Amino acid sequence: MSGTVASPNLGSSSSTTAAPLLEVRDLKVHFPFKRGTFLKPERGFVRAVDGVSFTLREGETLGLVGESGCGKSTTARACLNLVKPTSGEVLFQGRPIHGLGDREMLPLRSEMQMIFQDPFASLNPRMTVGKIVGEPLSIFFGGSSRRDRELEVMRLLELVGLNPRFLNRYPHEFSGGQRQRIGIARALAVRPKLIFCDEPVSALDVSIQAQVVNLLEDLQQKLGLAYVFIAHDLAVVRHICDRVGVMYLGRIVELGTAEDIYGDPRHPYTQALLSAVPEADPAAERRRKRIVLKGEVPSPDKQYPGCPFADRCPIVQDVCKQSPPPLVQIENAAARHAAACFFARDNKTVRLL
Amino acid sequence: MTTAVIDETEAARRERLWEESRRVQGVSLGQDAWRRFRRDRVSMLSLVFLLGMGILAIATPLLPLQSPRLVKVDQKFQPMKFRPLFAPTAAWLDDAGKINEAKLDECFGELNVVNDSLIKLRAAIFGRWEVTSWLGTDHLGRDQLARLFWGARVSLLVGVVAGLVSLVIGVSYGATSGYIGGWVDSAMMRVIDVMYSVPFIFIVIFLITVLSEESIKKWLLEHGIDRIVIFYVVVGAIYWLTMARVVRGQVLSLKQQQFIEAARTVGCSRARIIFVHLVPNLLSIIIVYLTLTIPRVMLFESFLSFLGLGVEPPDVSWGLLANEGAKNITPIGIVWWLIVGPGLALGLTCAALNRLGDGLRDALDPRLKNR
Ligand SMILES: Nc1ncnc2c1ncn2[C@@H]1O[C@H](COP(=O)(O)OP(=O)(O)OP(=O)(O)O)[C@@H](O)[C@H]1O
Ligand code: SF4
Ligand SMILES: [Mg+2]
Repeated sequence: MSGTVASPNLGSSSSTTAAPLLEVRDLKVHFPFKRGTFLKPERGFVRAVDGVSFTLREGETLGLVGESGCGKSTTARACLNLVKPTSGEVLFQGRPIHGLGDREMLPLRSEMQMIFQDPFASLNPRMTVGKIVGEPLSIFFGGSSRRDRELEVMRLLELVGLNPRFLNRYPHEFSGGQRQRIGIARALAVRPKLIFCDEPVSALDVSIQAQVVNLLEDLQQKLGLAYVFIAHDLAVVRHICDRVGVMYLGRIVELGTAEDIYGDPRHPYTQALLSAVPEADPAAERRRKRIVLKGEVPSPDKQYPGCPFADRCPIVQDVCKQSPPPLVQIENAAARHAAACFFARDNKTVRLL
Repeated sequence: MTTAVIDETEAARRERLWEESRRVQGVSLGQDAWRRFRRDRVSMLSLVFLLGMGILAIATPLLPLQSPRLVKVDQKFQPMKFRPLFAPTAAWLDDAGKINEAKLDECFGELNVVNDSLIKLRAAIFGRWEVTSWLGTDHLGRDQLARLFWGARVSLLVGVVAGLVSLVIGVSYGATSGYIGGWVDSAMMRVIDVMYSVPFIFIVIFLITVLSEESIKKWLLEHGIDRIVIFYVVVGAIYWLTMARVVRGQVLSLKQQQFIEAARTVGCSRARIIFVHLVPNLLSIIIVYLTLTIPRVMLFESFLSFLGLGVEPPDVSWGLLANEGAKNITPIGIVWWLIVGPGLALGLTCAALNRLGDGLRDALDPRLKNR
């Protein structure tokens, strides 16, 4: 092995501030399951998140990318204490949040918010927009009058580009893109520092996706937000992210600046993902070759002795099946670029086929 | 015009928008359901029937009906007769229109403030006029029509109150159990399983028999506890079991929804999630289930009254009336008008409630309709 093992605060080495905004150390979330017949029960764990570490500075955007089921949402939910981590640590501004009860978690809820994956299921169908967006206000700024709250909600609706007159309408009277804006307004209501955007655009029409991403970028500039931006393909996060983590089967397999990931991907999985992204330049697009992954989509309830990607990897070697490759710095690459592959250092060629 | 808009301060602009927002009221799911419901003729008819029944029951003291208790042995087993329609025969009013308190007590029993003023209002409006025995009389010469109306008050009240008792207990229990989940849920559900296996009918019968024993009854009455109050509580406490199960099942699927997770993310407490986010989304199923519980409770009351364990004479309920009617089925002849009245009233009410439940379910959840 030729890399150095990545330090836990990989990525913030150049930062001089005391503690990063969010620090995740070796986070694991395993869901127990029981199945099989009554006589021959099978017990095990779905390793939804299996050792994720990253850090995030104030105002920064980290992309988390990976195919469906690789544990992106679960990572976000564990960071917000919506699901109990099996092990590992989550620190917000240096304060540990894992294991906090609902009451102790409350002050942190005004710092960290989430925009949900499904704009249809994430809004209570029985509440008006005013109530939905006003709810966090009444929880955190309890004393305010209903009218003041409604005025503040209207300000938020305007901020996310919705007509503030629609305060008393219900979610089902809005389109998907508008609903996602309502979700954004709700997340902004408590003036958080960090927002987890869980595939905020994948349920939306392509034409509306760009609008919502632009809105998120605008808000970031105006309000100095930090984002963890979750997506299932690399195309969406390209413009909005400072750094990108590529997830596979509950692990981050490659982490680096957006330039590194898009310009110099080292993990074969990243390269496969990138090969699926269409190029803007027609000449490049003609040259583009897709790397089609063979083998079945892996299941998170199995434990792999070696590299979890081995079954599908185009450059798999014997060594890969023996021990799992750690996430390591790539020596001669730019700082803060790491990949979990034994051949990351030499593996420049696949993309350039 | 343009300058006015530009000159408008930010605060004033917000005020204006706020005023305008009041005019853009959305259509809630409930309003939407009501629109669908109104198109359903039979269900609307059931609703109108039930509302009419309820209003009549409440207004009974105001109506020019005979006394439901006054015994007139000389007029026993009169058949249905509509002529004359009215007669100035109210025994509790003298010729000058003054109320004879002793007689009033004999005719209507002890009256609470509301009923008392309704009766006085009736005396002022109708004087001594009251309807004749349109639906005939029973074995003591009591007017069957009046007894049906006064019986409706008891039967409907039992249904509604016991239904609501079961609703409050069932919804709170079921929603809490389903939302908390884990071992708490398992424990709470096992309690229900155990309660299901208890033969409640026997327990109720036993309980009421014990409470009907003279000395206990006297003691209870001294403390202001009527048998009917015990009845509400006992029946409500039995019928919540199924409601709790139904609600729990719904909560289990509902709590997986993202808006519940979103509510947790913005810091909602458990109680707030249960009662602000979960329960309103269960409203449709709760209402539907309530319309099915009420007839069951009413039938149970009739059953107990039929056994002589429910409402006590001289109070009346439909079940008690049916019981008396059945007693008069003899080899010599059937006094059919004493059975048809309460039977029809009970049957129609239960049918209307069931139909209403169906209609509400269709209206509240249009996806289910075409299955
Ligand atoms: N509550 C749960 N109980 C059991 N398994 C779960 C639970 N939540 C998630 N999982 C499993 O964990 C894995 C990761 O799920 P997760 O929702 O994090 O994926 P994801 O990356 O967000 O996928 P998608 O892009 O489809 O949203 C999946 O295999 C899923 O089946
Ligand atoms: S470690 Fe081996 S199997 Fe895993 S990605 Fe690298 S080359 Fe492929
Ligand atoms: Mg997800």
